[in-house]
Amino acid sequence: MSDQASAVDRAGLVTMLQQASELEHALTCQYLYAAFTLKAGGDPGLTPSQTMLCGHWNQQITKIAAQEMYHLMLASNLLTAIGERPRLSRSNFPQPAQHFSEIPLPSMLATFDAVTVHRFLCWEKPDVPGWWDQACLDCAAAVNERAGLPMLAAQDAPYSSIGQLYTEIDDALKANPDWIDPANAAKQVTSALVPFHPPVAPITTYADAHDHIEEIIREGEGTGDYDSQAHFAFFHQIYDELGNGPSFEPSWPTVENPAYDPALATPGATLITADDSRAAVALGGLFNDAYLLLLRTLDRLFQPDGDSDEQRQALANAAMAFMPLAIKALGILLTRVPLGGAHAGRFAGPSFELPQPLPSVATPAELYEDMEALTARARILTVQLDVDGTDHVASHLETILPLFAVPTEAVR
Amino acid sequence: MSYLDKPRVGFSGSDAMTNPSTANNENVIHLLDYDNVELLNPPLLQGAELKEMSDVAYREWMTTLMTYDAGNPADPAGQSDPGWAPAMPGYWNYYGDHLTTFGTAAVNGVWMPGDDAPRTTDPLVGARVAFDAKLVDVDPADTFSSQLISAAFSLVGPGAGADLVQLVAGIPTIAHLRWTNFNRPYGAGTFQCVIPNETLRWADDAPDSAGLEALRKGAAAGGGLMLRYCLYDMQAGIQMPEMYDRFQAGEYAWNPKVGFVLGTIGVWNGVDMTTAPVGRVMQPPSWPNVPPAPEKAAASATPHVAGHGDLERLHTPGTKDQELLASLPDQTKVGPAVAVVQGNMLVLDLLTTFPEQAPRNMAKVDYGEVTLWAGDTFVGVVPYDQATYESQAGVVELPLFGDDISGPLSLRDQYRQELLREIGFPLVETDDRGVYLDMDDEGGTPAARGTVRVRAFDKGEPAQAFALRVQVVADEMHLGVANSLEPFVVQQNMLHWKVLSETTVQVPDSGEVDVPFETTTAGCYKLRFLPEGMPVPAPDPNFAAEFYANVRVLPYHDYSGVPDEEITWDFVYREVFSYYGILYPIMSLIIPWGPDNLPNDPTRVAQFAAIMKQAVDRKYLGTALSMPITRELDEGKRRLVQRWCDLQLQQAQPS
Repeated sequence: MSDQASAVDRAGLVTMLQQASELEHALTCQYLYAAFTLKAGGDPGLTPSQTMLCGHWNQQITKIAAQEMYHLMLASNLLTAIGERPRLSRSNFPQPAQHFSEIPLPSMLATFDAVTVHRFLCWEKPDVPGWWDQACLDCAAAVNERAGLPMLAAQDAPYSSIGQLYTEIDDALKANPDWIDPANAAKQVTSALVPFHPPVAPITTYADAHDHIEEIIREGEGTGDYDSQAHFAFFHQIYDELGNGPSFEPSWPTVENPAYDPALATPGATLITADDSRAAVALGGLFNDAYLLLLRTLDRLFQPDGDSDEQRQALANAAMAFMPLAIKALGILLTRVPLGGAHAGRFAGPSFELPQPLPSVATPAELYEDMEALTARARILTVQLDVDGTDHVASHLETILPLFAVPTEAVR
Repeated sequence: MSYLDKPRVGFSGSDAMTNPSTANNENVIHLLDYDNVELLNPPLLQGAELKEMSDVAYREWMTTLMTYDAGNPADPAGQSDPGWAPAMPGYWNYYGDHLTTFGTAAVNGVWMPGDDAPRTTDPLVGARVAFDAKLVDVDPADTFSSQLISAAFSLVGPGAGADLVQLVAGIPTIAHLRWTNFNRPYGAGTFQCVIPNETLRWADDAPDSAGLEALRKGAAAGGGLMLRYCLYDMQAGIQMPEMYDRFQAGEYAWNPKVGFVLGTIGVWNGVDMTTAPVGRVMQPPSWPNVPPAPEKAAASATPHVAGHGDLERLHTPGTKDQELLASLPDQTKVGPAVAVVQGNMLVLDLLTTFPEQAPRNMAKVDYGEVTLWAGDTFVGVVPYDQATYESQAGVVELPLFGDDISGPLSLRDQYRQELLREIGFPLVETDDRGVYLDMDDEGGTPAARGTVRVRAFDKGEPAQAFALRVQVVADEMHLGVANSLEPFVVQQNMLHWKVLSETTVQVPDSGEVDVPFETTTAGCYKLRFLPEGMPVPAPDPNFAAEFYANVRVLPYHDYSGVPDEEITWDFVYREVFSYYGILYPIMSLIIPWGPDNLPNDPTRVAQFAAIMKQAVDRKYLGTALSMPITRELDEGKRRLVQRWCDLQLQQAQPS
């Protein structure tokens, strides 16, 4: 980390941690979206070897997305350690290029293809000069133009890289270790709840915080060690495989940046209406409510308000089951819903739309009620819609509903 | 009060679906040691020495194409059997996830008290009957131990505001297969369960439905709702060569069975049996209703159905079993029925009684005018045509005119030939139809002990004291025979049963008794109940009509002496997860424990440790949440998994 004393005040640190959280969160959504669009065995147009390749890419991107979620959790722990609410909200997609790099990359939801993987590669580019700098500038220009988004001038970026953002966070904490309150350790999400790898200890000192930050940089954004297991290396490999292999369509051609709620749609979003697909609108709304429920469950984990260890464990388990059985299942389902109208020939996708700001912290009982309502709605949609797979999603939700029944008698 | 009381809501559907994983269902080539819940590697087969395989190779082998020579008792060598069928070691649905639903089944009639026909104008008519369960066999090898472990049931229809709502929703208890009729196309079986009030939720904005309101009030006054249904003509849609092609193309293809469902939703009074109908039961005039006829050489006179493969062969054109079934007189193809007297009405439950003419041709076999008799007293003409069956959920009502119906009931065809006859001995049923026990070493010798509560009835009322013979019956597996290795052709075998022991239990006047069970050997058992008055038992049980309970005794694996440092991923994979990775590969698509040719990421598996520890907990055994779905995890391995999970949680704690 830098040797210079940090001039960042506490509010500045909070802002940086919130930015980091939003960044990790946005990357998670983008990677998941691309993974959801990947074709699988039985989908049209794939040979057996292409099916294997798609499966391999899917595992790689899903693993990287899981690591971004892990980084979001680490950033949330850092916020919690200094007594702040974790930042689980973020802007809706597409997001114009922001302040994390001299490369003005927008955040957007797009189907898996060479352009998308190139964009991902640029998000994770090494923090040292190299061939990638010009390639990523070119990529950013092309992506912004395609998305109709403004190109941020390089001099407007306050950080030269994502790594610099984390370095400044580290510097600020190093200069002000007393901002970390050990009393907040019990609110953090650590390996006591989920056996993360690498392990996550509660942050009670600057040294703990430094370890968290080092881990984020080592795995992902801004590392100079691009030959290791860093995300850049994985995306670079996928990009090469996409470019060098036989030409085929590895993914379902979804719209970019789908949106289902006109009130939440941002400029550049593809608003999908009932004229395009009634099923997509219904399932897109269901996905967003599921996604919001997941975030609110995580929010509660960080703000336990007297919940016992047992209750926190129950909520953590519910969230862990919810991710593959609800979020992933619904996300994949959406990318197979064909659209008509202005988007004929393309498919829907999960929009990850969030209300701004997030609702206040929910009690376990409220989370259960929300889950119950979500489950009922999924079941009703199996009656309303003629979409293969909806029944399985409803079944998943019905099966895991009891996990949200956190014992209430122990809630203080 | 009885399970056939009004209000009753009937429903039907033609796209019910069940999607079991099937690798453990067929044991032509012995893949499994069922008793010890272990994979056999190499698999066993007469006439061939198969090679030991890596987990990766084993999983691939499961989806290779082979040929079954459909053996039959009359042709044990398979020399002249035309029934050659493409098959796979993993059977017809290797990647199944066990989900079972009613598809688009909908309410088609509402019987209110006093009605003599179902109403078709009640707003409840048309409501979707949504059912979500996991199909799990207590004994994976046989066809009489299926249970449906449900996550949810609901009726979905327009609310008062016309928007679709869940009019009522709840979680059913476990339903068990009962009253099978294998003579119907692709076989048929009935299931029954209840939805207790504790789990029921009723819509606030319900429509003005007399049927729904009556169900709600009836449930509130009793214990909840009763759900009884029949699945029939369930067929897998994809033939094995196509499945092979899809597997080869990298698809984790599903091949669910799809067919018909018909059933009734009624009121459960909180006291009646939850899994079996109680009333005046009529059975075909064959064993166990009458003494077995040794002179008929029963083994070759009727098809033997015990294992899943037997049922498949029975309905596969070209097999000897199918020819045998086709040659049987229609009069022998009728399944059981139950009669209940309600005031001046006799209500007949014909849910799985009359067979259909052919697969996907649901017209009933024509028996001419079928009549019901009580002794020599004519009771009435019984409508059994397809339209009546489907519109009335298999229930018909016959008015009584003061006749004495105390004589034994019988159902007769147009020639007055007896199709069914009321049993002349107590009806012995149990709601403990699927019991799991664990071997335990308390006392030095591993043993399993448990009880099965039985309830006995005489004409629907608690039976007077009688002696109940209880036989312990075990599967008797026979290896398939390799007719050829290139191509790979295997002569199919048959599952039989052997009686291991017999005891007698005195049933008191209450009609209820706990039947003890004890064994020192893990395995799949049936308790065969032979009430006093039943004819001398046939040597080969007929569980389609007999009384029984299934008991699965899981083996004892003691890992308590294994030190923590040896409980590594490799160890727990070898001892536990590899079995599920190979036999139930769908699970690896959610928690990636491999083997290597499936999603395989031990680090991510470890991140699921806390939820895995919860899902394998015994308290979830009766729920759809329980893992593994197949409920084959014995107590020792359960403790091992939980200990590994604890270690992951501890090891994840930084020092």
